[in-house]
Amino acid sequence: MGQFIARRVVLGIIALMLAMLIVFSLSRVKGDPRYFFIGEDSLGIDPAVWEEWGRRLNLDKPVPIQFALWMGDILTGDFGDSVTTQRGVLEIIGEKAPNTIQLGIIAWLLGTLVGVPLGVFSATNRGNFLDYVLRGFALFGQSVPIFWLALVMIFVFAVNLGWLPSGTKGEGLAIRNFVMPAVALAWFPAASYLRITRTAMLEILDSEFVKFARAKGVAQAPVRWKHAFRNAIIPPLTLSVFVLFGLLNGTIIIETVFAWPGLGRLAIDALWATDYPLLAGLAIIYGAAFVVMILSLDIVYALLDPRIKYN
Amino acid sequence: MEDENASISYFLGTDALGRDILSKIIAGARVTVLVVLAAVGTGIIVGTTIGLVSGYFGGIIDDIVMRFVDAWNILPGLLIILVIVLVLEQSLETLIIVLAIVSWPGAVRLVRAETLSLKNREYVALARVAGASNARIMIRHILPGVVNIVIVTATLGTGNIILLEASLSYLGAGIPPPEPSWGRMISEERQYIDAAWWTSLFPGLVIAMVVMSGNFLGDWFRDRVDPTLRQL
Repeated sequence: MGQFIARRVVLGIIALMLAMLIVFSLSRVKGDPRYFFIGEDSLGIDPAVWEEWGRRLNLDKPVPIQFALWMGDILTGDFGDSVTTQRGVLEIIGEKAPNTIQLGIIAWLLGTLVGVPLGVFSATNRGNFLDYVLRGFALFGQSVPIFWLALVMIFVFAVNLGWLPSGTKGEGLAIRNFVMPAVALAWFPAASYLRITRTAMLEILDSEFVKFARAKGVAQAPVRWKHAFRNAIIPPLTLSVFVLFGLLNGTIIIETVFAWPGLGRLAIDALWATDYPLLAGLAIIYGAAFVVMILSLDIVYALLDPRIKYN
Repeated sequence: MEDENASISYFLGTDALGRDILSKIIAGARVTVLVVLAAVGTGIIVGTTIGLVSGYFGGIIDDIVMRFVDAWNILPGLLIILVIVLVLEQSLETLIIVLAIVSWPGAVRLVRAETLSLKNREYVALARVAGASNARIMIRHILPGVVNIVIVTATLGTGNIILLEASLSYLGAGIPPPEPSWGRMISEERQYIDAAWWTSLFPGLVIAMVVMSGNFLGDWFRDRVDPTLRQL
């Protein structure tokens, strides 16, 4: 077990370093990385500023050394300064992160708490009317573009009914502001949870030990929750980590639609301003967060299912 | 405001410039389908080749390929895609490349896993005894065993690629104007949503219907290939 975790940590670190290599290479696609944020057509740039950026990016050294120095800076926590605002990348990300984390966790909980029970319900009511309704919902949920869903919700609940604000976060944790972005974000995950939980439950409900428990006369509810659900939990659990990570992609879109002051909006603003240090910082911090999440998932697996053997 | 609600001549109404929504949707279908199929096709072919080689030879090649797949998987996909679009400059070709890049790591994992289980089968060993080269074993003996699951996964994944393309177009990094695009129709018309809801509603519904059809097709394919899943 200890050895297994050590191996996963090493693999995670390698993946993260290769991810940095990908991010670094992207900045060198145009040759000189300064073109990335200054632009070939901006001829009016002060040569002194141009030289200054060259020095800051170690452009006088060979490319592998540039990469090593860049990675060294990042590993010591120096992500550089944003090109547009001249402030530290970590400082900017730290400022915006809470807004995205709050929204992400609420959407994650919402998706999980709606999707998993509905999946169990759909499996135990297999073949009847409600099962078809739920499966239809799952199919639809996995097929609609979330930005469109968000717009429809704004049209219905903000423009027509006037129940909810159409965007931005406001001060503190005002629930009203969270409702629409969180529901729009949770929609796709809820549908995925429903499908995957339903399939896992059906497989378990069909197995011998469940039939035996039924034959023994165990009541419906304990069979469902104690015998079946506990054994069907691994697929939705795996999904939950990917959902959490996938929400990062979702927030880029949803935060744009709802003018939410979080990391997703920050990424889009940085993109159109071609603020390369900020984009690189965001990508690497997201990557590191995901490595940590996957590692914790591996440990949770081992705790939940002693049959999983490591080698 | 030029927006006009549904009528006999404009079946789904018109947009802010008086253009027929239905015509734009039909014209947009051509580009979207072209881009998505080209991207999925490229991604699957490249991914299958790499996965086959990586799983068959194993060793250092496999290690290097898998570490890069891991690295790609931990990066925030949409953000990296947007950065690639920015670097390569927006065009239909860039979009196809970017969407292909998204589909290859999944294909690599899948094909590699299948290859690992197939390469130790007896018929592969017999083929080797009969003097078949590595390339022949891979193409004639292993590829037919993985091609079904690749087609199923590609079909099921097509829906997600369509959604991704729509999101990119919505964010302004997808199909470049003047080509019509469903995602961009929604983003261009969203400011008029209170006066003319149909301008954004119908392109979204069309995207949902196409994605849903892709998912249905994928499910159907899977049932054909693996009938044990049918009753679930």
